[in-house]
Amino acid sequence: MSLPVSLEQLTVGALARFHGTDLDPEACHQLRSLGLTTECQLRLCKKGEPCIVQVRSTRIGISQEVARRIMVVPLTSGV
Amino acid sequence: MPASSVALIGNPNTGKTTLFNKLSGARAKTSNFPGTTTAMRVGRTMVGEHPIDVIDLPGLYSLDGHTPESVIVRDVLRGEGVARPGAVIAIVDAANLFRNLVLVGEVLTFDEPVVVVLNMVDLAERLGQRLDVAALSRRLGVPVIPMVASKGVGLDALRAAVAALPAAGEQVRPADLPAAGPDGPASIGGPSIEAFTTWAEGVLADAYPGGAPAAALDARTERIDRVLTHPVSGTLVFLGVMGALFWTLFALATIPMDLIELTFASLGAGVSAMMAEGPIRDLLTDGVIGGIAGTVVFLPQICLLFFMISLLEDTGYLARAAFVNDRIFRRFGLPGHAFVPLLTAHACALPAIMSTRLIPDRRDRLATILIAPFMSCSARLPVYVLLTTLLFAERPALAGLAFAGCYLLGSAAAFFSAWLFSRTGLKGRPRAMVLELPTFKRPSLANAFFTARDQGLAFLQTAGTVIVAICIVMWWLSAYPKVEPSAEVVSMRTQGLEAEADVLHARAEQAGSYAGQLGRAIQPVFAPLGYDWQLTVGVLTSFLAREVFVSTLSVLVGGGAEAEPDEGVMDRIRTMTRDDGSLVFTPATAASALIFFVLAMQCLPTLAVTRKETGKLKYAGIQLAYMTTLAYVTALVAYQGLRLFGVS
Repeated sequence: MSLPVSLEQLTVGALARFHGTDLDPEACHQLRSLGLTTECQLRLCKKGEPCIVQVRSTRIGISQEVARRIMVVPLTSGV
Repeated sequence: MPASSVALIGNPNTGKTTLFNKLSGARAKTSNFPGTTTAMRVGRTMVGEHPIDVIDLPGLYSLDGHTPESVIVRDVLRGEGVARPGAVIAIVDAANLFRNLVLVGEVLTFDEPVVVVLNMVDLAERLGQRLDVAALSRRLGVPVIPMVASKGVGLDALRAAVAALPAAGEQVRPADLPAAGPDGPASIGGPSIEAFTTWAEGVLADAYPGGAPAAALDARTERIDRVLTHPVSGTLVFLGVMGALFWTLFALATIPMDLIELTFASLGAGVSAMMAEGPIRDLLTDGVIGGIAGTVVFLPQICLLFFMISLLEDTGYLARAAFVNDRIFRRFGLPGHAFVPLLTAHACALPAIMSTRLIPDRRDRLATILIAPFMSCSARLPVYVLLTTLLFAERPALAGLAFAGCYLLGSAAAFFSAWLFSRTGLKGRPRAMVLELPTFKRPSLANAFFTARDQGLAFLQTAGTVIVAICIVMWWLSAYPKVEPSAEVVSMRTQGLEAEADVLHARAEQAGSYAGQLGRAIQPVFAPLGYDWQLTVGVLTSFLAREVFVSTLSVLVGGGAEAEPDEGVMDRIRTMTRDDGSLVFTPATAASALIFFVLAMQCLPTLAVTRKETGKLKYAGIQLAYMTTLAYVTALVAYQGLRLFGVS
């Protein structure tokens, strides 16, 4: 099983599972309400500023500062 | 008998506003939720023979949490502070059902009967998603109505479903729905978003007989997003879009603005001709009609701006543009969302401050409101033209540079102040951006029209009334007490020199008015900036609106009250003298006055809108005190510095 890595370390197109984050509760709540809940599967669509991920049909733009602090477990060889 | 009211609840970008407009059309009324500055629209629609109220609640992702939207929607569903709606229409995006179902699950924990609107089914079908609507309805225990709200498809079925809803508490909820917490639905200790997410996965599995749709990547959206959020191409597109927006705003708003000014001028002249000379006539023509004209004239810019912002928002572009600007703005303690208000402020600070409603975080919104008036608005233009011409009379190239410098100084002051606020009174960094990037869509003209109308009406109903009252007070201060015509004026009139006599008398009235007397009294305060009593009167009268500065000086030198003085009047302003016979406008004084007008909060309507939008008089006070102090100190340093270097 892969070890968690930062979201910005994934390569574009890689699939990963949301692992956790050390962001403040308000930011965590914002991520969760947009669909980035524990164990959810996501795909990295774009790296950089902003980082864009897709969770099911929802595309979410995430500033690099936040992406750096989101830990994911890669599901495909995309790190 | 259907419920008497129904609340519309849904995620952002699900077509909730479109559905609201289709249901209630032009009959909606906008007000604020009790105790908040969040707007609430209530419309009326017919369900069979019965009229029912439709309440458009703010778009939100979850009832959990402390965002203003979550608090408002929870309060409405609980009937706290407002009447509890008889039913709920939960609108979901058919192409993005999973995330939308989380909110539906949370809504189902309340007693209100629910209808689910499955909007944009055409888009879901194009994406090849095959949803079993009947199975979804059975699974949720509520009617599910497939719709394309933008085309009105499914409206009759929705009305019929609302009419057939049972009473509160009589709809049977899904057995596996996470149970509400001990303190009732959506309360602390209740089920988490994760619990509803797990539940939504189960619902989805039953609703898609062929299996839930995979998260397919849309190659076209991918390509467009790469361009729109790229540091270079994204910035170029942004500059192009904003250039087009402001060109349209300036080009189109001028026509109705000119018409409004012309209409009110004719009205004033008509009333003036019908009434006998006296204070009542002056109050009506100059105070009331002038005050209303000064308010209504802002309407075209406000309506047009919100019309265009609504179109842009509908397309899905604004979320991308926010990221492009976030890179730069964050360094100064501002969020990327601030770009629309700050650009708008170059036209007028009023719509700019109103458009800060796009900014979700209160700290970020306050910071943007406080600094927006530093941007050089169109009302400053006549003042800049006058003062740069006085500063560099025979050197138009330098005058042009000084003119551009005014814009730069205003922007620099705005970003410096934002940086300062983020380290003092509004401590903290702007919220790092996490935004849904909505699907690109064709914008709705009807939505844009209703948004423009609602914002225009909201401006007239709230800020407008305050502005008219302020205009009347300022007019009174500038017009009273009346000064008897001097012997010289009387003598000129007897010689048939009516026009010259009027000009001389107007100058005496300006000097003798309360504003004039005040100008003389507080001139010592402005003396370190190089201002005599006449310039001080100009600063005081232009507190109503900056452009009044030009007409005040024009009157003081014996010209008319035109906003753009002719060459003769310009010459007289240039050669205006102080009581000791020296020139009023030395290069140092002109530079000092120019800097003062770039930075000072010389616009009462803006303060009225700040108070309204922040909900507190305190912020209008802070804005006034901070901007005036910064303007005063900077102008003082410039004046004294120039004198030190022999420029006087």
